[in-house]
Amino acid sequence: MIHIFASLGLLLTALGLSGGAWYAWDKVGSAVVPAGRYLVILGLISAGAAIVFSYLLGRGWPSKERFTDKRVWTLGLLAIFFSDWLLRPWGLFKGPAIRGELLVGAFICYLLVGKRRWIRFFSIWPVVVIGLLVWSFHVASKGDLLFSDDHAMFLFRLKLLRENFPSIPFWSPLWNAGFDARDFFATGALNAYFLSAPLLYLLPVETAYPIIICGIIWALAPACVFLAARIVGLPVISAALATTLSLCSGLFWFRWALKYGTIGFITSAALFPLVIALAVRFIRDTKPSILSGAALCIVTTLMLLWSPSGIAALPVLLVAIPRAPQLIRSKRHMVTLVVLVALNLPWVCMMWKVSSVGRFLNSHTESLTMPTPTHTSDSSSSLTALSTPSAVSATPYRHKSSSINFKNALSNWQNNATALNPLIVILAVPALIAFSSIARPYIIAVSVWLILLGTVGVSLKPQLELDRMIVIASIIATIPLGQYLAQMFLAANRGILWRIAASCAGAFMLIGPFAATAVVLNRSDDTYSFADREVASLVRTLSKHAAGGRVVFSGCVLHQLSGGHLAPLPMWSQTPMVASSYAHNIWKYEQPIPEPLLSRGDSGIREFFDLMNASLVTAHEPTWIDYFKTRPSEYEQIWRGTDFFVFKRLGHVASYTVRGELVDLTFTSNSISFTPVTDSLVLKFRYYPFIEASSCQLRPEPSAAGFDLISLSGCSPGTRITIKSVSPARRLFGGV
Amino acid sequence: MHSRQRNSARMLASSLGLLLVFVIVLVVVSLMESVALSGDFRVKTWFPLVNLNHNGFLAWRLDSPTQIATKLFPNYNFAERPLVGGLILVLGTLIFMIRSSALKPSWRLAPYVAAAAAPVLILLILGLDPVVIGCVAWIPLVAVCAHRSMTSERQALSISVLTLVSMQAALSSNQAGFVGAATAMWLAYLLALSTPGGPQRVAITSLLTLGPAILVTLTAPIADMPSYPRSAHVLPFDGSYGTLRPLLGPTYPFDTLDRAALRSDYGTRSLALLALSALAFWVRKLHQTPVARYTGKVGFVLALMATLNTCLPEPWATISPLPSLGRLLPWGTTYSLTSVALGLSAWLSVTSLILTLGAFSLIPFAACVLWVSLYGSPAILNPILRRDGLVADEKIRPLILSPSAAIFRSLAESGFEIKQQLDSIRQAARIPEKDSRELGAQVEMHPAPPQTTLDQAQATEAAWRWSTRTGSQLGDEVLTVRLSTPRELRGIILDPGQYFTDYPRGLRITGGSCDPSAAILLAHFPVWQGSLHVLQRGLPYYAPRNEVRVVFSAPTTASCIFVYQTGQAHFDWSVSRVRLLVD
Repeated sequence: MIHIFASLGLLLTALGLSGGAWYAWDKVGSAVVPAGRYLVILGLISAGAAIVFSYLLGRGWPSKERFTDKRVWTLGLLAIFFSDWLLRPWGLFKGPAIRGELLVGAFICYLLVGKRRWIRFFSIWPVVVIGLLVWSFHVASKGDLLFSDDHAMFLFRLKLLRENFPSIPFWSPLWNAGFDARDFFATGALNAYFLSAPLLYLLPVETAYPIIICGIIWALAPACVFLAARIVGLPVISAALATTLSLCSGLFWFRWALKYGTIGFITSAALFPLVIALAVRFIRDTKPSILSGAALCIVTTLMLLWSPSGIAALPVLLVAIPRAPQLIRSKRHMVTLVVLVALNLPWVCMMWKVSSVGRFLNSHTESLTMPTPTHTSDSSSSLTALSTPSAVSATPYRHKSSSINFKNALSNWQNNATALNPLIVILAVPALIAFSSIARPYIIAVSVWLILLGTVGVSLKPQLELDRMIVIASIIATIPLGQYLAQMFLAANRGILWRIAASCAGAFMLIGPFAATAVVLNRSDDTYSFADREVASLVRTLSKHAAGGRVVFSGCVLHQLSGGHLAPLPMWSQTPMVASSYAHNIWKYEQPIPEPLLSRGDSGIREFFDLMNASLVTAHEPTWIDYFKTRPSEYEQIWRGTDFFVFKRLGHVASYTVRGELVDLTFTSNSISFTPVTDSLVLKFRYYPFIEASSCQLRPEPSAAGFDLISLSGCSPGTRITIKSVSPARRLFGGV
Repeated sequence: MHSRQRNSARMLASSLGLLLVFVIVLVVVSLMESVALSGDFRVKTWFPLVNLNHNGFLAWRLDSPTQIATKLFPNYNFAERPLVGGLILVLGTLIFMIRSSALKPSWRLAPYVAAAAAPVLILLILGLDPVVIGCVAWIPLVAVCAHRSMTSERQALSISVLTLVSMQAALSSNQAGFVGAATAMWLAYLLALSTPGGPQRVAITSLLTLGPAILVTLTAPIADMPSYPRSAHVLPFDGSYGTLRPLLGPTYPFDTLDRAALRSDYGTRSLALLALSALAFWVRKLHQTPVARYTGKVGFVLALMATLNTCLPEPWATISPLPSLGRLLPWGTTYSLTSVALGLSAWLSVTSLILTLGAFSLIPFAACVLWVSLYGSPAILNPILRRDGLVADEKIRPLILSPSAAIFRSLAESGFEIKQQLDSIRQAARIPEKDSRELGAQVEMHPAPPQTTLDQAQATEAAWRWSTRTGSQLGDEVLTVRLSTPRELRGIILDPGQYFTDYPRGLRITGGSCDPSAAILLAHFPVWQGSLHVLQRGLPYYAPRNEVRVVFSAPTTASCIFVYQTGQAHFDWSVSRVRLLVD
């Protein structure tokens, strides 16, 4: 009885915290449990009763087995099945029809788990699942390039890295008259670059990119979970179950991986379990092998290249403190640590220097907004409205910091819990308690820490998007869950209740991967996008009509082009461009044209376009479309897509100089070269203190565009000049 | 000499028996109408195929024997009338039964009776369905070859034959290949129970049996979909769940498999087969072989699954095993897994019964045939096929060969001329519309909540709506449109505007007099499907359900229009704009 009360107590508490109000079946009628707190109270009473009984019977504090009865915890899965959980938005298992698949899965598992030999099926299941997921991705893509949100940006970064590594950061003339290409450090693009380098140099980046993404999501991530499980001492069947579960851990894993395209984070999250397992072994071994030390250094470095992962792994250091004296005395441990620091210090310093990390961490934005421009028939008045965000309807954006708020934290957790695989939500707690491995304290500490970061921390530092930590926590939790589920399946022969319990868990195990394939096939609440034919058509148009000038994207562009950022367009069209943002680095409505020029109306807009050497302008907002259409003497429409229009500036003569004259200007991704005709020039390029010219003197020249232009003096006419960034070492140490 | 004569006589008798079975199946096939419509090759050897009963729309192709037959007899449409598949099924069943009977001596005529009875029962239950025949046809042959491959001493030969046969099976069953191959492998395993092969042989056999089917399933192209507008649909919504998306494999932008038609066409047939298979399942005989026992059991389970899918209320049927498996299997929602399950069940039940009961099995078999025949063949029941010359019409046939076949089915059911109906749909789309305010009409909704300050503040042009604001549709809402002067009206548009989920779930519209009791019925939609439109090339489709454009059955001079919302939903009923269709 004690085990029933104890396990039920914890289960009810977990259900109460994760589910809020519970409705029966299809949410018709009033709630069965009006609020989660009732379940929590009931759970605490039940657990308390178990503890009291245990003391009354003279057994002391109940053992951990009492709290992890598998039959009782399976009731939680039944609660998920019979309640409205499967109908909630953003669920991995999308009901109500998924109940049928779960019943089929339970029936199949009921047949399988009764026979000991058939449990081996779960050992090959992850391989089949990986095959299904990759095929589903192939079906969804129809051969098109993954372009959703930051995927376009990562593609661009990989192209830049391929051309410029190791000379990063650098100045690139491809966007906005020149920009500081430095976000390789902050976004973690380097880890994906290092892992995929052979492919990137063998194949065109566009061809390699889907392979890289599939490789990270469906080869690296499951392999790391499998290896981590094996390293911490789990048998193959448990490791295979953990791997399968990691492939369908939750909807938000796919959101970050496929929809948002945060490849740096995804790579780090994939490596995280392996880092923890290697670190545990490294800490526990009195004399770790050179191989394990080297593996730890490499894998940890790759993980840390997405820097917030360092915060995620902090509890490992805390749990290891009691062993610190032994570690300090061990030469091998110390050498490994020194190598690890030596590998990471240079890029951390560089990131700190160039990315203004301190300012980013302390950025405190109260009410950043993403307004929707309103459409009126009068073009000039609506342009004024666009330039003043207060005049347009605004919806608050997520980046709003606040103090610690447990109510919000609970709400955050409940939102995330719905998106997780129910096996993780329900069984992670008993699995962590029952986990019998050297890694137990580390995995418990890391899991709790990650959930705290993902629920409480997210309000404190919203700019870090710490809700992602729950995604990492769900992957880490698969390791103890693998062991717990294997024990559950092996215990199925003990009796009918055990077999039913195993079948219920097995149903989620069998159907989970299919829920994941549905997400990959874009049949979930979260959809992602590929570059459609319109992108190729737009690129062809821009390439054909740019005629030595730039392309300016009017209005605020974020994901309007096939759901992705504009970033790679200059490389595909061989044309430099200007936009308010080519990546997701703005958090409020922004025009590329600065306010003073915009407020001047036609003359200001014309001046900006001239300063940018714009031969083509695009429009996707009704106001701008109207603006260009109503001035046929200045703009001629040459292309139209679903959202975007391209207009040619009539009478524009392409020139990259404001003053002076040059010929033969050529671009690369990190420099421009030209031959001056006059000894001094003002170029239509943005000035940065860290750029240098091969022969002339450089200085900033203020402009109406809102930034300094490059002014050159003392040039020798006829001598070829290259402008590029100074070396990274000079930038780091030279005080540039 | 005596022995040789006896062998010759036996051979002659066998050949005559086989010939007789062939003739029986040929006669049945020639008497039946195909329930499918096929088109010309589109992608290499793939051609479009639509089932006129349940609207399964697929890219399909033929196995090599059928292709050869097509070249030999170009005037016979083997794609729609799978005669070769039927004969292969006869041959396979005969060999399978001989092999099964060899395990346990039984009735001597059993193989011949089974070879005739199984295909005939399949045809009577499902009609000439190329998908079902294509899937089932090769199963017995593959099973026998796989069994040989697992147990034969001449390994190379048996493996070669299995490879050839399983490839043909995969070509014949196409998207349903995995189901067929898995069944064949299971039957081979049953045959091999008494003489099991080594694990290596089993592994190779499994690979050769399942491999081609999986490959074909993964590489099959999606059928060419006409360019319907976004959010269009072709199946009438039955008021239960929304779109049921498959979890695996390619699919179309909207559901094509008509579950309502599946239920009405196959419900009673499933029950008949369930009764027959129940007999095969429950009959226990002392010397029953594993083949007879397990085929009977699985035949019963398949019939039960089909019955659950076709006879349970829709919300329960959608979570019954067959639709659930359909969502888990690639292409499982594009072809009718229920039909395939019924076909397999018929074959398994007949073979099991004959193996178990011998000649006595003919009694329940005859009863089942009688039961099924009483309801008429699926082809006879089909309204499209019932209309003389409709599928032969050069202009209509390419239109029916599309996912819109379901709408053609309902148009054919109404009894009016199809072309006229298409024309009237086109004309209805062109009727000019006027805003109710332009006509000086007053609009009010009942029950209507009192306006709050917030409502008034939000009542901008874009956000305006008449709505009950109860968060649900109860079926008792009324919208009244009072015109300043009586006008001749052709229809009404109730635009939910930005509240696109708030369209009415059911509608009854009356009008004429402003006395509701004297108003005449103008339109009635127990379940609102969305307006019916026609693509330029003539394919009808339903617009999104939030496009509420109702054309009255006849022009009506009205002072008032009463719109009764008769459906139920967890959404408000909102109307942002009322427009009236006036000439």
